[in-house]
Amino acid sequence: MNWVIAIWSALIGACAAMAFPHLLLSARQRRGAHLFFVLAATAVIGIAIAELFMMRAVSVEQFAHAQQWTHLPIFLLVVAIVGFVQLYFRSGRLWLGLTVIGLRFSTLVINFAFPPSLSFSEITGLRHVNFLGANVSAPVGVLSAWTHLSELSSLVLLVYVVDASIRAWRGGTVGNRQRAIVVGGSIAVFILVAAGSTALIHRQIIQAPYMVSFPFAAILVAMAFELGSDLFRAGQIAQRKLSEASLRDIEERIALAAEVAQVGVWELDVATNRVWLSDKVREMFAIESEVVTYEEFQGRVHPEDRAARHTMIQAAIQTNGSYEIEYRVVLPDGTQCWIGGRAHCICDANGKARRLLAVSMDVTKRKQAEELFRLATEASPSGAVLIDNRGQIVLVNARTEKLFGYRRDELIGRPIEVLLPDRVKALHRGHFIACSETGEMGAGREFIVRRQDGSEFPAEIGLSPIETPQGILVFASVVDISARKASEEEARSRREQIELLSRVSLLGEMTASLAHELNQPLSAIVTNANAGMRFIDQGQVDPEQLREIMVDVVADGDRAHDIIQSVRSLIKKGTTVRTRLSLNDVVRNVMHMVQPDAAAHSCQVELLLADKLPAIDANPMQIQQVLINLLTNAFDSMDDAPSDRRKVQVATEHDGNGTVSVRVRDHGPGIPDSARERLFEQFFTTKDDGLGMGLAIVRSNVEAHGGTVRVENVEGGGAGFYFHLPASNGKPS
Amino acid sequence: MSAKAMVFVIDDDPSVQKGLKRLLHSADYESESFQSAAEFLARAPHPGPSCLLVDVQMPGLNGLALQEALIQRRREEQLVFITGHGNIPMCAQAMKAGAVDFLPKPFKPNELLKCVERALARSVKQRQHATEKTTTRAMLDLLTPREFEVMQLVSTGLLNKQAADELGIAEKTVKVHRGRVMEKLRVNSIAQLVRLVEKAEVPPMVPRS
Repeated sequence: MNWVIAIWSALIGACAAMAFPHLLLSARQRRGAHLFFVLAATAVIGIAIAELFMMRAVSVEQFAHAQQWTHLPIFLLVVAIVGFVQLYFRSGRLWLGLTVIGLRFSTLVINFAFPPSLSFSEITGLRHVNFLGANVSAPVGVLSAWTHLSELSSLVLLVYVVDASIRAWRGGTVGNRQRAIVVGGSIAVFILVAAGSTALIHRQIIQAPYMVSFPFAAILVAMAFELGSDLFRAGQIAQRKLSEASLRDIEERIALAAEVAQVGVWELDVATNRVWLSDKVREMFAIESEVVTYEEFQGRVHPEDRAARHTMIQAAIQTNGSYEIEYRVVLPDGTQCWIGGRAHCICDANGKARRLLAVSMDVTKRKQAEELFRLATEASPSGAVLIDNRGQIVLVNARTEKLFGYRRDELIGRPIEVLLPDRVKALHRGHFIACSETGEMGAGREFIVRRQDGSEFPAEIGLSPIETPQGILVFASVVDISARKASEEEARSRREQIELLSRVSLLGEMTASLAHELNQPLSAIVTNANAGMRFIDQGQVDPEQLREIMVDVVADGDRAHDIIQSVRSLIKKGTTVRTRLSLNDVVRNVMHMVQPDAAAHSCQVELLLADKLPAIDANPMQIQQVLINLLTNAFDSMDDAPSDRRKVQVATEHDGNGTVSVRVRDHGPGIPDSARERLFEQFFTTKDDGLGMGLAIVRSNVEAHGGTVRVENVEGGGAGFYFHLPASNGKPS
Repeated sequence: MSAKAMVFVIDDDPSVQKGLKRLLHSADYESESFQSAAEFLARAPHPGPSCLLVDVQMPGLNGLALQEALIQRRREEQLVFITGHGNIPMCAQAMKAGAVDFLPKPFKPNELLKCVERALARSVKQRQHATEKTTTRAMLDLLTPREFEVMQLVSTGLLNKQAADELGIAEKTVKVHRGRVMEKLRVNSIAQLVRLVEKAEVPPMVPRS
């Protein structure tokens, strides 16, 4: 075994190894380039075997025979190279390739037609050359003229390959250029080497055996490298295509889902800065084309929202993140829509954002509803405060700001206690929490609340729980009731004042009549006693006369006592028990009391008292008061009447059916129709200085006795006031 | 000066009436009681000095109305008002119309009696005055018209000469008239004449110049 056999065997093995996978590939994928590579590899193996035979030839015949057969694989190799270039570069000139094959085929025919071979017309002997330490054979003979034809065919092949490579270089991409240089260049170089070395060997310029198989093997390596890298790239592409397909699939599904959900999808290509828009988005943004520039897309956004949206998009791209946003879009016709959107970045293998995929939906209706709610809440005349279940303020309206003197941002997020005075905080908080926990509706309740400056005011607060996704919130409506409180207070104090006044005036009248009533007996007592003293002083003591005096004094004393007693019972109104009494007596009593008034008004009072009037069960003082009030009114009503008409008639009567009546009739102007309805109401008065209490007391007193009051204008002028009381049991008084 | 002094009590309250009558009796006054003003007016006027104790508040004609009625009838009873319910306008009206006093009830008996005394004194004086006027007027009626004129002029302090000038007569004639006047009127001096003329309330004759 020598190095020559070892090297050539290795070469053959290597070629076979290179050919085998491509044989499998070409069988499975039916790719021409791979088939031609396998053919080339096989041809190189054949050449290498033939070269071995030539080197080991011991006779001229043996050598010539081997050389002759060498041309067959060479022909096949040329065919393979042409086929490879043609299929692989797709830029070879076919006619040139066919010319090469034709030339080569003709050399092959000549080779077999004119022995010993194409190269030699006659082989005279063998030389033994020392090559790599082995003794190998080399031919000695006369070169054939056909050798030039072989060299021509090699030259044309070279031209064909270089031409194809140049054309591939010119028309191709980066990958194609690399391919043109590596494959085309190496094929050309090694064809040159093979052809050149053969020519030199033939001419015995170099003493070496044929070894064209090596440059051809080098061509094989170049081809194999190229095919291998192609395979690798194809694998990669296949992989990527696979993943891209699945991604596209997902995107399509998203788009489909989005369309169904009335959601638009758009995608920003970061590299090209172009945006692809789904139909829905085009509709929402009123954009015609499917792909627009980012700037065009941004142009539709409301100027106030544009910068914010841009910032968010850029931030998402920078950080490879996502965002959520709401912004306004202004359509060409001027309408505004609210768009809500989310987006996230899709990045490449390096983790760099390649695309931004976003979904958008029209939230105008929700926004409008929110805006309406906001406006309604803002416009509310009462303060609105929304409180979460921790007692913190979530929302307030303008009225609340005004009521409490806080700015909105000073309240949001603060506990509700800031609006309450310290002393009631715990109490109120419990109430709010209870409301939020039980969901119980709080009717308007009065609270004392506190402004920012520390001042307090009464407020009516209505609480209603609102169920939200964030839990139960409490909606509190706050109404400032200080004005109402004040007016209530004022009304109360006015009423009290009036009551006081009426009591005072009643007291005044009572005192006046009391004084008048008491003065009579007192005067009599004093006068009598004084007279008695004088009689004694003068020594004219007549026991009989003195006794008469004393009797009168006692009688007047009793009279004074009775008066005081009756006034006391008048004062203790309401606690007096009813007694059986005659209305006639009451009228007579009252007549005495009002006499001064009658005199002051220059009125005459006429009594028409019925006989056998049934008794009534009544509080004499209350009935007295009724009569006094009616008579006082009667006197007042006639101030403008001529003095001869100033008459008041007081009549008692009974209907025989258990009702006793009193009529007080004046000769004043009568009751105007407009006043009649309200005449007995409290605080209603027709007098300039009246309190509006008199007739109200009349009615309440009469009704307290189960009676009724009425008024009518009497024929002949003046008003008649009647009150009817039930008789006790029909007995005459 | 024949009839004696009388006190009339007009009050609707019988016990007050009775008490007053007793008191007046204890002070030795003659008295008479009436329930109402009308009742009193129905009685014939008392010829002697008289005093009325009147309650202001009375049914029918009240005290003040009675006072008015008396003035209209030119009666000159002296009135003392008593009231249990008086006021200032009422009081003022009564006093302007010539009331002696206005006593609120309950009055002090001594005060009341003093009022009665004062009222009666005024009544006496007034009656005296009225009597004198009557007698003087009777004497003046004796003069002739010319004598009356002379008297009027002389009593205003004119000298005889001036009076003569005034009347366009001789001074001597004036002297004669004057002597007759002095004689008829039974006066000795001009001073006496002047006093008499005043009592008679003769309007003075105003000199023409």
